[in-house]
Amino acid sequence: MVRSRRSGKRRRGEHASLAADSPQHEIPPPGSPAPGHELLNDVPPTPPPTLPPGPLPAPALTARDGLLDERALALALFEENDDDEVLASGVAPATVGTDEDLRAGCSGGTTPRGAAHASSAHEIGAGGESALEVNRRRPCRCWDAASVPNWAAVPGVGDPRSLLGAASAGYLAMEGVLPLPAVVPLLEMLQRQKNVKMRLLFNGYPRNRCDTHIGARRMEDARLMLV
Amino acid sequence: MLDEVGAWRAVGELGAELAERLTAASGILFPAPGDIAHLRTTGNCGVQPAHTDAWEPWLQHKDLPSASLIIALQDNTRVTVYPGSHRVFRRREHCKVPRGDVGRPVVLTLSQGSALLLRQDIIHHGMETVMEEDEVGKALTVQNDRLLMYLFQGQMVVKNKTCVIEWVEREP
Repeated sequence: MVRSRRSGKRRRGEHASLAADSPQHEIPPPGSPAPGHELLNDVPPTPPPTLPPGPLPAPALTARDGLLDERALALALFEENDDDEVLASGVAPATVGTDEDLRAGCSGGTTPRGAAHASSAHEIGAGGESALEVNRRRPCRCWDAASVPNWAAVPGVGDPRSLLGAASAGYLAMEGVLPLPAVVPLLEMLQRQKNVKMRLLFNGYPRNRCDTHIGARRMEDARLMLV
Repeated sequence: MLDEVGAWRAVGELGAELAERLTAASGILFPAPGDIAHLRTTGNCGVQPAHTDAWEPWLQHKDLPSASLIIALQDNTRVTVYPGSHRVFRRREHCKVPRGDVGRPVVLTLSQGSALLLRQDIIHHGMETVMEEDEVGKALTVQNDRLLMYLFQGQMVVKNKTCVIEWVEREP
């Protein structure tokens, strides 16, 4: 048969599909009965298996169940417990101030904040809520580190009243509210900037405190990245 | 890089925490600031003109004003404030203020990592560039970088304007 040049052209990848579509004849292995053999056989077919009396056996695990188990095991590796030491981003352990600050940073509502901040939280929650309840409502604070602000230097709830009142002096100074591990990299970062338009980038801090990850990265994912 | 991210978060959290405490103190919502500005004094800068951060300070509530937060990133970050000067706007609706109506100015020197929380209707100004001598005795200006945040009260509209004070002899 002569095939025209045009019809003989095949696109890349076409060969496999053509081969799959073409009729295929299976060649039985030597010794096996000929096709249609079972139709001529007089032996009755075997009955379907019956369930034994008693409780039903547990169903076998599916592939999905297996994946879920794997995921649960993987997540369990990163579960917080008393032995966990959650180091914050990019900070060497030697520079870490206190464990309280660290645990306050990544509590995610599961652990209370540091003792320095507990008094103010207690004040806020004085209207019937315990300090612990207030802490649990707080959004997750990740990326905190030794750079966590010195909450004790921040004016308490009573102090802003002196700022807000008509008889106030109108200003409040907060000494050492931002620790050096925060100030030094900030200063380095800002001094690198020669372009005023970088301000646009800095404005990316989310207004919604719950959305502390601009890229919508969840807390667990962020911690996985740190590991 | 991660240090910088963490530090930047810390600044945001500081602003958010202050907003939260102002909310608790005033009973009116101060949303967490979404805008952190970088202020730089470089070259040979003189003293800033006296101003209020509020565009129309007489519209600020006398008990519940919006606030500004200046975070010093370097030592010798100086700000001059006029304590109690926000009260002059209770009886006038313009930026022409007799010098005698406000008290003596106070020069605040902030150390690295310190912050200053101001009412937005208080008169204040930044100071001139600090000079220092290099090893050959030549005078050099010291660049000063600092951060600024506005903590607006309630649904206040953001105005990127300030009220520059015009000192006058007597009430116009």
